[in-house]
Amino acid sequence: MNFDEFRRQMESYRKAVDDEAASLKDSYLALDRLHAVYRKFDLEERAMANKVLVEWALSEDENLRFDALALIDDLKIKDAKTALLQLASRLATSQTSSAPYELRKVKRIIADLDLV
Amino acid sequence: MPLTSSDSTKEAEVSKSQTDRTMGGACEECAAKKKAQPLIAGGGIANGGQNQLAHSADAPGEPKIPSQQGDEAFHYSRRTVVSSIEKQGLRPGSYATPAGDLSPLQAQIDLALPPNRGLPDAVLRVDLAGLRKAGYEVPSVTQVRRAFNMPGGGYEMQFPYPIPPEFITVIRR
Repeated sequence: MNFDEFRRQMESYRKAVDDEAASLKDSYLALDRLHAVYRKFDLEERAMANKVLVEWALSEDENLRFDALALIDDLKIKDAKTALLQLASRLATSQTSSAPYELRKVKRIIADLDLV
Repeated sequence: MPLTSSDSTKEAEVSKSQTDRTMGGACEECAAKKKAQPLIAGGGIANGGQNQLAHSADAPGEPKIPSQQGDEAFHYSRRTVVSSIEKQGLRPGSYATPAGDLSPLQAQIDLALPPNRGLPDAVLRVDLAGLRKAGYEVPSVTQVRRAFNMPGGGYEMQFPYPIPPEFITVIRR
């Protein structure tokens, strides 16, 4: 499977588990599912998954970023550090209500990754 | 942290849905589950008719749908995800209710939560006043409709955005 196919599958999987979580009124179920599927990946798949999560972390979609940041944080994906620094710069100049809180979270994740 | 029996069931479902190691397979299962879920509108009698009465908002002395969201709301959840919520905040799409005094069973009934996800044994407070002050638009409150053979009748709001951990306090875990 090439990277484009893998990216499409991950997007499709997230959409499916997000729909499932919504229908069961259990929003965190989607994160449980994403964690579980990541843990099933082999090394090559994890490398591709990390690239997808970096793309999600830089997305304009705040909800997609939420999942990416949670996975990067929980799974300690060090490959994402450059993207997180880029996101932090963007959030620092953002005027949205959520930006200061998301920026604080991103800074914490970067600090935690530095400890790994 | 010990898993409840319902969590074990869920874990088994997770494992089953990922047995084929393909993401596409799990997606088909999600779609099938979604189609199978009954979503029936209307009041219920499983809690002694209280919810049927609650749906008749015009009757004298009956509970009315709250006109305002108030300064706090409560998110009923699984205790296994509380530590993650404390760290990441509430995921977009999360629900909360103005009622902070529901037992796990009453929350399942009033909020029409699916029985197969286990009782919501954890309660978290969402600081609505703080969200408003920070510039967030707090969603309106609606009455819970019957679903999953649960009568509903309580009140809920659904947040389309993530709620930062700064606005969340764990009440019961």
